[in-house]
Formats: sequence, C-alpha cells, structure tokens
Amino acid sequence: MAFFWRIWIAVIAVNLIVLSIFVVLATVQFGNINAGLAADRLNVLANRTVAPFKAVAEIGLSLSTVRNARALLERSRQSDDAIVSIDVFDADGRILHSTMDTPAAGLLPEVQATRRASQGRPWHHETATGFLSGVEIASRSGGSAGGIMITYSNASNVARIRGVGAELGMGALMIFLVGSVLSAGILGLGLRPQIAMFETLEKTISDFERITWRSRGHDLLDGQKPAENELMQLLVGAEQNYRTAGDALDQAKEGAH
Amino acid sequence: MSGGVLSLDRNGMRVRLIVMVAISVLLSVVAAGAIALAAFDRAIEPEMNNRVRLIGSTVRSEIQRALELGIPLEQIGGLDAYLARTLDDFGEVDRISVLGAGADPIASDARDGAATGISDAGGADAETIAFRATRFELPIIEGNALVGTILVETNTRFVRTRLRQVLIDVVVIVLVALVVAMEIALAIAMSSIEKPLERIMHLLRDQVAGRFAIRTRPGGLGGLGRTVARFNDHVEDLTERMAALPARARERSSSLKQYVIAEDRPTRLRLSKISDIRIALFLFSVSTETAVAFLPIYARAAARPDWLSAEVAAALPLMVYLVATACLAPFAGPMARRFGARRIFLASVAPSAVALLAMGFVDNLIVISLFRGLMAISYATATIACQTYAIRAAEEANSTRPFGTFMAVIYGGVFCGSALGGLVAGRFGYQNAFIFGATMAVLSGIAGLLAMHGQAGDRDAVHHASEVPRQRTRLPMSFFALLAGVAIPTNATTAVFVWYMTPLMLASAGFGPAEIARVVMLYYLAAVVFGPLVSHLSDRGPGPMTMLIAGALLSAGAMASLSFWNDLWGMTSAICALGIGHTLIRAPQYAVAAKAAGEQGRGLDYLRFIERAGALAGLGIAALTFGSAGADRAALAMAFIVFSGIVFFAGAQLVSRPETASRGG
Repeated sequence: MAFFWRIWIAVIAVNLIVLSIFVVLATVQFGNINAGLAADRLNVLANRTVAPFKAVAEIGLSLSTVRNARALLERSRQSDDAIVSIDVFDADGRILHSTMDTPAAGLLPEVQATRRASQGRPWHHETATGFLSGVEIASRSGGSAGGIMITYSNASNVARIRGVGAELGMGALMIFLVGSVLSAGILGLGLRPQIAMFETLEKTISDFERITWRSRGHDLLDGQKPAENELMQLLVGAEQNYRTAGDALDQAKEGAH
Repeated sequence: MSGGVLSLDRNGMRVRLIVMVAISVLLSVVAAGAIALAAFDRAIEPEMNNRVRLIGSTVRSEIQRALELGIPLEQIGGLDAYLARTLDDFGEVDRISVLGAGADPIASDARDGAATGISDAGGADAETIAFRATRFELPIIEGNALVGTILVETNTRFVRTRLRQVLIDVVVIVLVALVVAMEIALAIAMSSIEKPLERIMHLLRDQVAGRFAIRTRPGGLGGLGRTVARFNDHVEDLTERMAALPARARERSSSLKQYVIAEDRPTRLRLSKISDIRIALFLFSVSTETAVAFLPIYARAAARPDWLSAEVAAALPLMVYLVATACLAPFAGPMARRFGARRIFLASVAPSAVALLAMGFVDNLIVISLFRGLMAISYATATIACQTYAIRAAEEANSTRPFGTFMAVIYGGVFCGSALGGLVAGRFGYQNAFIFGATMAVLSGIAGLLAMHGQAGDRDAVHHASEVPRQRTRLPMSFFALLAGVAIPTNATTAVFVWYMTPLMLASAGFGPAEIARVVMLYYLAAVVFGPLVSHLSDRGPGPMTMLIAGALLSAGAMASLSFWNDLWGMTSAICALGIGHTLIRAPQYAVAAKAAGEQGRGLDYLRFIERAGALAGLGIAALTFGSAGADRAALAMAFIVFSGIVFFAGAQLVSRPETASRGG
C-alpha cells in the first residue's frame, strides 16, 4: 500500500496547491472586477462634476479662474461618503482646486504616468489607500487643459475583497476535504493494476532479501527454484556478482601477500 | 506471474496518473469555480447598486436644478431627449422614467428590446443573478412637497454580460490551474515512480554485467529504497576494497579482470529524461510571458523621443524581441552543445530576471526595449538549451516526443504567463507584474538546477573529446523544401493572423484587450491540449508526414474561412483551427527536419532561424499590405501560401525519395 499512499498524498498535494492558486487568482480577479466597476462609477461622477470646468476650458480660460470651484467639487463629494477628495489639476498635474483644506501640490508621478497612458480617455489608478479616478478636460486648442481627479476610499472594497477571499478559502477547504476522500476512491480504482504491480515488486524484493539471509554458499539459488521474474533474476545476478567480485578481491589481496 | 515485474507499462501508468490527477483536480476546480461565481455575484451587488443609484441621482440633480429655477416638472423642456442621452451613456440602464406626484408618466425612455413594464423588474432573470435590486425609485422634492419620482431600471442583459465575463475569467483561471496541476503531477510521477525504478534497473543491469563503478541517488518507495541502499553499498564496498589493494596485485589478478570496479570514487548515475526540463522551462516561459499582456500599453506610456509615434512605441519592444531572437537563433544551439545545455540554461536565467526587473523600474521606451532585447536573447538561449537537453534525453532518435513536450510546455507557459501577468498587473500594477515575472525566472533557475542534472545537460561529446570541427555534409533538398514549404508559411501565419490580424480585426469590431487576449489564448491552449497526442500519433500512428499535411490543410482552411466568416465566432473558430493545425505541424516538423538534415544540430539551427525570420517577414508584409489589401484578401492570400507550401513540400518529398533510395541502395 506504500505506492497507493504515496500517490494519494501526491494527488491531494497537487489538489491543495491548485486550489490555493485558484483561490488567490480568483480573489485577485475579483479585486480587478470590483476595481473596474468602481472606476466606471467614479468616472460617471467625475464626468458629472467636470461639466462647469469644461465650459471654462472651452472658452480658453484657465481652470484656476473658476470662482466657486470648491463649492462645485464639494457638492459632488457629498454624494458619497466614501469620496475622500476631489481635485482639479492643470495640464502639468498641479492641483488648482480641491475639497481638501491642505491639498497636495501635484499629482503623484505614477498617477501622471497613468494619465499619459490613457491618452485623453478617463483613467483609473489604484493605491494602497484608495481608488483615483480622473477625466481629462480638453483645452480650446485640443490639448489637455487639465482634469479632475476623485480620490475614493477603498476600505469597503478591501473588506469586500477579503470577504470573497475568505468565502473562497472556506469553500476550497471543504472541496479539498471531500476531494481527498473522493480521490482515494478514484485512485484505488484507476491505478489498481499499478498498485498490484508494485505489491508484486515489493514481494519480490522481500523474497530476495529472505534468500540472501538464508543462503550459505555463493549460489544464492542453491537448491531453490530458479528466479521467477526479471527483477528477481537481476537482484540475484547482481548479488552473486558482488560476492564473486569480493572473493576475487580477497584472492588478489592474499596473492599480494 | 509474468516474466517482468520491471517491464511495467510506465507510459500507461503516467497516462493513468495524469488522467486521475486531471479528474481529481478538474472536479475540485470546477466546484471552486462555481463557488467563486456565486461569491462574485453576491459581492458585486452593492457596487452595481451604487452605480445605478448614482445614475438616478445624476438625473435627479439635473431635474431639481430646473425645479429650483421655478420650472414645473411637467414643463421641463427636452426631458425626453435628456433621458435618451443618459440611456445612451450608461449601458447598465434599461429604462428611465420620470413620474409625477400621482405616478402619472411625464417622460420615459427605454432601450430597444427592453422588458416592458416595471413589473418585470423582479422577474425570474433578476432572481437568478445577484443584482436583484433592478429598480430604483428616487423621490423628486420641491420645497417640502414630493412632486415626482424617478425610476431607474437596470438592464439585465448588461448584467448578464458582466456575469459572462466573470465566468470567462473563472474559466481562464481554471485552465491556468489545470495546466499548473499537470506540470506538478508529471513532476511527481517522474520523481517518485519512474526515475527511482529506472535508476534501480540501471544499477542492477550494470552489476549483473560485472560493472561496479556507478552508484545512484538513494531513496525510493519501501523496498525500492532498501534495494538502492544495498546495491549502492556493494559498489562502495568493492571500491574501498579495490582502493586498498596494491596496484601490482590488481594487475596480477586475472579473476578481477572480468569486473569493472571504480578505483577511486564511484561515479554517480545521472539519467536524463525529457521531463527533466518541464518545470524549469514552464516557469521560465511563464516568467517571460508575464509582460506580454500589457507591454504595448506600458511601452506606449513610457517617455520616448518626440519623433517616435505612440503606435511605433507600443510595437517597439516586440520588434526588438523578434529581431533579437531571430539573430540569436542560429547560435544558441551550437552554444548549448559546446558549453552544455544545463550551463546555458542556468546562465540565461539571471539576465532574464534582471531584464524583467529593470523593465519594471524604468520609464524610458528605449531602455525598456533594450532590456526586452536582453530578455529575448536569454529566452532564445534558455529555450534552445532546454530543447537540446530534451533531444539528447530522448530514447529514440528523430522522435517527435522531445519537440512535442517542448512545444506543449512552452505554450503552457505562454498561456499561464500571459493570463497571470494580466491578472497581477491589473490588480497590483505593472511593476509588481515585472517583479512576479523575475521571481518566476529565478524559480525556473532553481528548478533547472535541481532537475536538469542528467548527462543530456553536459557538453556535447564531440566538443568534449576533441575540439575538431565536424565535416559538414550538404543538406538535402527535402530539408530546404520543408523550410520553404512548411516552416516559413506556418510562422508567417502565426505572426500575421495570431499576432497582427486578430487583435486588429477584433479591436475594430469593438472588442477590448481582455476579449482579444482570451481569443488569442485559444491558439496556445490548442498546443497544450493536443501537443502530447500529436507527438504520440507522429511517433506511433500515421507518422510525421501525415501530421504535417493534415496540419497545413487545416491551417489553410482556417485562414480561408475568414474570407466569408469573420465575426467574433468566425475568428474564434479560425484561431482554434489554426492552433490545432499548427500543433499538428510544429513538433513533427522538427522531427522531419532532424531526419532530413541527417544531423540534428545544424538542421535544427537553420530551422529555428527560419522560423523567426518567417515570423518577422510575415509581420512586416502584413504591416505593409494589410491596410490596402483588406483582411479578407490577406486571409485568402495566406491560405493560398500555406496550401502551395505544403504541395511544394509534398512534391519535393516525392522527388527526393527515389534519390535517397538510390543513394541508400
């Protein structure tokens, strides 16, 4: 049964590894799906907020000239408690207006890189603390006049992702336990000829060991029936050769003296 | 009992074990997939509700602005047009209605084909999926009075599409998990059953023949472990006794002459199996492919010279990659033979890991492309080293198996690497995806160090013994016919259709990168699924020639089908058919090339170079002509080239066969 247990342990180990990989990948993928949905929603909000600023940019004025900018931004911010801040930035990423009392001087370099990569389309960037979602505002000349960025707390998203991870983990554990029992049955049936063959192999080795400890002379099969299978022939042949080679070494040693 | 306990059907056992593992893992992963789908479904419900609520509040704020200006709800102008515009902007909304205080409809707009009537909202469809709250009611208040209500209903088709995308994502993850499971199962089967048995057989046969100079690694199940220990000890005992014997006594003893006994230390038996390369190559392939899914986007966003367009910037790393692999292809094989496949593989890992890390930490297109080039060089040397190892480890000369195994593992890595790279980049950012790739490269090095210790990883015996160059024979016409008629069209088709046309055609039809990636993945999946079967049929069934012809005809058919069926399903079917067709061609083509060239090394070096050159030429021609000729004509032209190629190759085979026979006779 050593063969069966070895294979069973191997199979459940593979199952465990694969289920673990699955849980990790599925949780990561859920995070991606969730982030995509949140980004879409924040883009809707950003598009709604950006309208007055677009009007200013279209007539060729700088975004910094909007007078009641903070009130406009604050109105949007209050639509969702999870919105941390809403910022308006210029083409170079400098913050012009913000709902924060002490806003950062400019966009983070990685956010600027995401902005560049988006080529004018709505963009989305995720940090350890929140989602950043932005839309660009086109200037009169067709270039970028700047844009608007919403910072959204991802505390609820993290909790949701952890929840999905825990649910998947628990499910995977149950599947693993049931699967381990089932795989024992499947292996027992599917590998029956191989299990029998390994048992024969084990028996042959045990028989050979018995022959060697019972043997008195050099001929291991002296007085016994000839080796009955290929493995036994090889085992006996190798053992006999070892003994005769040892004798030859002894004789050579005696001859030297 | 039958004659041979050790003549047990190892192939049969391997196949059975793989089937058992596949069944076991598939059941588990499908069950986990179902749980994942249900969990996803429930977990995204709040987000979907938030989205619909936001759309409703957007509409309400606009209406309330009009009310604040003193316009009564019933007299707001252009309300229908505004609702229609909102409906166009938000795919998830099926219907928006503005009702008066007495629930009398004031304005409403619905998507074409939307379920009619509000009562449908809580129907069976909505119950089967998570997004049960398919209807939102938002009151419109003027002063202290409720003057109306806004009703927003979600589009169940949109929700179903989202759900289908989630299902496809889960399926991709299941496939990745299955490919990984197969690799692990094969490694376990080899290390715990096949190799110990083979080592014991080798040791026993040696000792039966009187050779006591080789010892093997200890270990093995139960009695096998004891047997290895016993017969290893025989070798050690005789070696020690031999070492203690004076040299004169050794020479004088005639009875000792019939034995080969190690005089100093017994050599360690180093068996080579094709499967030694599997895990190392798989991990290496995963590492190099992690960036494939997002590299064009990453490259496009990097700082670049002003004269370089965004399109060229996106394609530059791929171009550098192809040129570097093509340039190195003719030299990687001789390098692996001269310095040893193991050494070359291990030496390729570090530059590849460094290149991946560097690509993640720089923001300059030229530097990114240069490191991509370095990675391409490492990729070419590492993969060709693995192929060289597999060829030398193969038990039969000119067998398709080493090539089939190589292709299946490479494509398995491509499949998993691109899927994992996309996932990691999407969730944790590009930098972390590159770090993940570099980690995989390091792991592949460790796997190579542990597994590729067979003699197949050593230097070529010819280089080892004497550094005298071999006399070169002229390669036969049938070999060049294979290059021109099969290798070039096959690789040109891959480059043109899989890498170029499919993304462009699907993108122009409105499909996003994720959908395009999933369709392209099917091409590689075909190689993973059908690769082993093709190797078996090529070696034991109809033979490599039949496989080549069948593969070329299927590829030509797939390309031709695009001229009349080129929607999403047409493209998907063509990709699947092309994947199967190319799987039928790739491994047998190497076996045919090795046989036709008469010597594996040089023939395969030419073939590898031609493969890359064919891909480059195909890509170049496609880029130049695709716009003017159109997709339909380009596909038909490719089908014609593939068909003509195989006819030419078959003709050359028929012509060269009598020549070969007369030479041989």
